[in-house]
Amino acid sequence: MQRGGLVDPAEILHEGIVGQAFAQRMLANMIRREMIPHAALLWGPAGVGKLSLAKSFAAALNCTGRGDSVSACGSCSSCRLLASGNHPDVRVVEPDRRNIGIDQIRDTIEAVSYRSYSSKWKVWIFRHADLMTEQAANSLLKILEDPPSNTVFILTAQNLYSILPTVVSRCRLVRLSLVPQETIEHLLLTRHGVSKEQARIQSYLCGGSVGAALEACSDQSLDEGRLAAIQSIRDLAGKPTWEVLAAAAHVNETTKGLALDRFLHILSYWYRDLLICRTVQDMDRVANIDMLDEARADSQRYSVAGLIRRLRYIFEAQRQLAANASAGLVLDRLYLALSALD
Amino acid sequence: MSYLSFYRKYRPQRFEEVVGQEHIVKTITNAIELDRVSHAYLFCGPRGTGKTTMAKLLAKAINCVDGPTSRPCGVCDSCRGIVAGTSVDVVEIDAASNRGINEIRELQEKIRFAPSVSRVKVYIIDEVHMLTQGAFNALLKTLEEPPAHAMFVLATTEPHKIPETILSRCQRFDFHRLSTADISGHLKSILQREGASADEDALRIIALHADGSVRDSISILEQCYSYSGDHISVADVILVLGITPTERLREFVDAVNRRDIGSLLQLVASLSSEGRDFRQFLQDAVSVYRDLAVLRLDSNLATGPGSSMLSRLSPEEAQALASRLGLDECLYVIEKLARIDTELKTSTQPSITLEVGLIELVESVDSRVDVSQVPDLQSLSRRLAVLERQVAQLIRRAGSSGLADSVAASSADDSSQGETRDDQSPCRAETDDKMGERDSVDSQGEAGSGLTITDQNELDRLFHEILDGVRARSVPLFAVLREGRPAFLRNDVLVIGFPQQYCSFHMGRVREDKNRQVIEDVASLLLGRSVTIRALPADDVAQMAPGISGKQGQQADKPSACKPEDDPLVKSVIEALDGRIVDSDL
Repeated sequence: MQRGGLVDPAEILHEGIVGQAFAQRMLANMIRREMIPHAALLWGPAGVGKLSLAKSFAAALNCTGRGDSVSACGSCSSCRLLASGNHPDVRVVEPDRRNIGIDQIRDTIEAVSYRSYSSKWKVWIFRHADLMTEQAANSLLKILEDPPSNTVFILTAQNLYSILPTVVSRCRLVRLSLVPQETIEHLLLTRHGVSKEQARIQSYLCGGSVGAALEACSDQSLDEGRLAAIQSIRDLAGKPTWEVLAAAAHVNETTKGLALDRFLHILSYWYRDLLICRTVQDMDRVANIDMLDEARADSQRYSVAGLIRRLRYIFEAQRQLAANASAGLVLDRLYLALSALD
Repeated sequence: MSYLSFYRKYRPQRFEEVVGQEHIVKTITNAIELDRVSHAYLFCGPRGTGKTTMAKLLAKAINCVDGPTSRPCGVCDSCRGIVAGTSVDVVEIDAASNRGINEIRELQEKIRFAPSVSRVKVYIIDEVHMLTQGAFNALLKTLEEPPAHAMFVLATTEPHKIPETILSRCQRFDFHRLSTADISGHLKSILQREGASADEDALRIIALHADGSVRDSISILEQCYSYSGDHISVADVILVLGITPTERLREFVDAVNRRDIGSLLQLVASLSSEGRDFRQFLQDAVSVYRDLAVLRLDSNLATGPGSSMLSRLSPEEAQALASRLGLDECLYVIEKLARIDTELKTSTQPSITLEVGLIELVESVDSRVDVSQVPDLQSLSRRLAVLERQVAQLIRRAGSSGLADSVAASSADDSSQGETRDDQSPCRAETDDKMGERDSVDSQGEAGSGLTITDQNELDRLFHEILDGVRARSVPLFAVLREGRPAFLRNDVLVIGFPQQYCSFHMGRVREDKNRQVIEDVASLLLGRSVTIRALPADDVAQMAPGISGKQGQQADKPSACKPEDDPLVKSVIEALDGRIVDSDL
C-alpha cells in the first residue's frame, strides 16, 4: 500500500487531503474507467476529508474542462457553480437536527426523478448517513438500488456498523482511515518546517487531523496549555481531597467544550506515555518527548495496572462528557480517581 | 443506460441462473408447470439472497407470451418490460417509502381493473416489513381474495415484523444464505463474462466476507475490479476489504505468546500507518483465536468449512500455533479482544484505546482466573453457612453433650447435602458409611437424636437467615413471620413464639400448611437436615422452656460419653496420618 505522500499524482482527486491514498485511488479509478457506481458510501473517522472527497468526486463527474485528468479543473462553469454551493445537480443532504428523516428521503426521491438541469450527473450527497432513522434508511433502499440513470448517491458516515446492512450492501464502499501519526509527523517536519520535538508531540495529540496539528504548532498558547495540564495532573498525587477538588473546579472553570476534550486528550497521552515508560521503555513511541525525564520518573510511581485503570477513568470521562454529563461532576470524579495513590 | 453495477447487470434472468436457492426454484417452477401458482407469496431471507430477483422472474414466467412457462423467453415485450421496470401490469411497490394506509387503499382501487396487456397483474411489495399496522390490516382482505387477474409477491428481510394474519395468507419461502463455494463459483462466472480473472483464494475471501449474500459479494468484487483492474489478487482484496493481512495476524499471535508489549505497540503503529480499521483487526484476531480454540478441541474441525482465518495459514503452521496455546488462554484472549472492541465503539482515541487494551491483555493473561474453576458465589456462601453452623454445634456439644453424637448428627447433615458430595474423597465416604450405622444404632438406643439448639444468640442468627431466605421466596410471608421469635430448636423441631397481639392473624398465616412448608424448606436448606416448624403463642412457649434447660442439664451431666478417640472423624485422621492423640481441648 502506498504511504501518504507517495501517491501517484494521476490518482489524486483532491490535493488537500492527506493520507487517503486508498480512497483517492478508488474514486479516481471509477472516473477514469467510467465505472461510476450508482451509490457509494465513504466511511471513516471524523475530520479526514469525507465530504471534501465526495464533493471533488461530484465536481470531477460534472466538470467539462478536465480533459484526461481525473480531478476537476476548477474553472469551468460547473466547477464554479459547485464551489459557490449553487450547483443545481449536486446537493448535500444534512441531518435535520439530529437525524436524517423520512421526509428528507421522500424529497430526494422526488427530486432525482426530474431531469438534470445542465450536467451529466446528478449527485446527491448524504452527510452522516449513520444518523438516518430506520424509516428513512428503508425508504432509501429502492431508489438506492435502482436510481434513475446518471444519478449518483454518495453517503458519508463515521460509523459503518450503525447503518442498515441492506443500505450498506447496495453501496460501493470506500474506506477512509485515520491519518497515521507518522505521516503527520513527516508532513509537519518536511512541508511546514516545524521543529522535531513539536512535530512529534503535535502529530500524536492532533487525533489524526492535519488541520488540528498545524493549528497547535502555530499557536504557542495551545502548547503551553498542554504543559500546564500535565503539570497539574503530576502535582495531584497524594494531595488531600480538598486540594484535588479545587484543582478539578479550576479546570472546570477555565476549560470548556472543545478545550476540555483536548485537555482530556492530553491527559490520556500523558498516562499512555507513562505506561510505555513503565513497560517497554521504547522512547520512540513516547508522545510528550519534551517531558521524557519527568515521564520516566513518574512512571515508577505507578503499577501497570494502576496506569491502565487511570486511562480507563479518562476514557470513561470522555464518554460521559459526550453523553452530556455535567462537566463539573465528571471532572471531580475523574480527579479523585486519578489522585488516589496506587 | 450508462454503466450498470455488476449486481444489476448480472441479475439472473432465468430460473436456472439463480444460485443456491434450489429448493425455491424447484417448487416455483413446478407450480408454474402444473398451473398451481398461488395468489400470494412471501419471500423472506437475508439481504442479497435473491428475493426481488425471484419475484421478478416469477412475474416474467407468468406473463411471458409463451407462458405461463418456467422458461420465460426474455425477448417478448412483457419480459423486457418487466426487466426494465416499465411494465404497467407488474407493479413494484417500495413498502418502505409507501408505508401508510393510503397507499394500500390506492392499491385496492387499482387492483380491480383488469391487466392492460399481460395475463396477470403482479404486485411486488418489497421491504414489506416497513408497512404500518394499519396498512397491513387494510391489505388483509385483498391479500386473501384478490381478483382472479392479480397476484401478490411480498419480499422482506425481517419476517418476524410481519403480522401473523399476513403470514397465514401467503405461501412462504425462506431464502438461505449462500455457501462460500456457491458464491465464489458465481463470482468466477461473472468475471469470465467481464473478461477478467482473479486468484482462487481472492474469490474465497470475498465470498467469506459477504456472509452469504450474493449482492454483497458482487459489490465487493466490483470494488476490487475497479480498484485493481483485470486481475484481482489476494492482496487487492485484502486492501479493498480492509481486512488484516495474514502476516499481521501472525505477528499478533506471536507477540501475545511472547508477552511482548513492544511488538504489540509496533503492530498498532503498522496497522495505523497502513490505514487499517482497528475494529476489523480485532474481528480478524478474534476469529484467529476462535479457530485456534477449535483446533485445540478437534484438529479435524479447523480444516472444515467452518474455518475462516486459519485457512489462510498452512495446516502445519496452524497446528503449531495451537499446540502452544491452552484452550483457556484462547478464550481469555477472545474475551479481552471483545472488550477492547466495545471500548473502541465509543472511543474518540482509537489508537490509545487499542494500545492500552493490548498492554492490559498481555499483562493480565498469565494471572487470569479460569472462570470454569470458580463455582458461583451463592452456592459457596450457602455451603459456608452450613459449615459454620456445624462447627458451632460441634463446639457447643463438645462442652455439653456427647461429642460422638454431635459429629454423627452433623456428618449426617453432610451426606444429605447434595452440593458437598462431589468433593467427597473415598476416605470420607467410608467414614460416612460407618457413621450411618452409628447413627441408626444411636437413634435406636436413644430417641431424639435430632438437632437441638437452645442458645438464644445462635437461634436469633439462624432465624435471621431463615427470614432472609423466606423473603427471597415470599415477601408477604416474610412480613408475618418477622413478628415471631425463635424459642428453641429441639430434635429438629423449631418452635417459634408469637406475642399475644400477633397470635391471631400472623401466627395463623405461618401455621397454614403451604406457608409452613416454605419456611421448613428454607430452614432445612440452611441446616442441611429436615426441620419441622411449630408456631406457638409466646406464653405457651415460656412454659415449655424450663423443660429444655432441664434436658440440657441432663446432657451436661454425662460428658464422659465423649472421648476424642471415639470420634469417627478423629479416628479417620489418625488412621490416615498414622498419628496419635497428644492432647485434646475443644
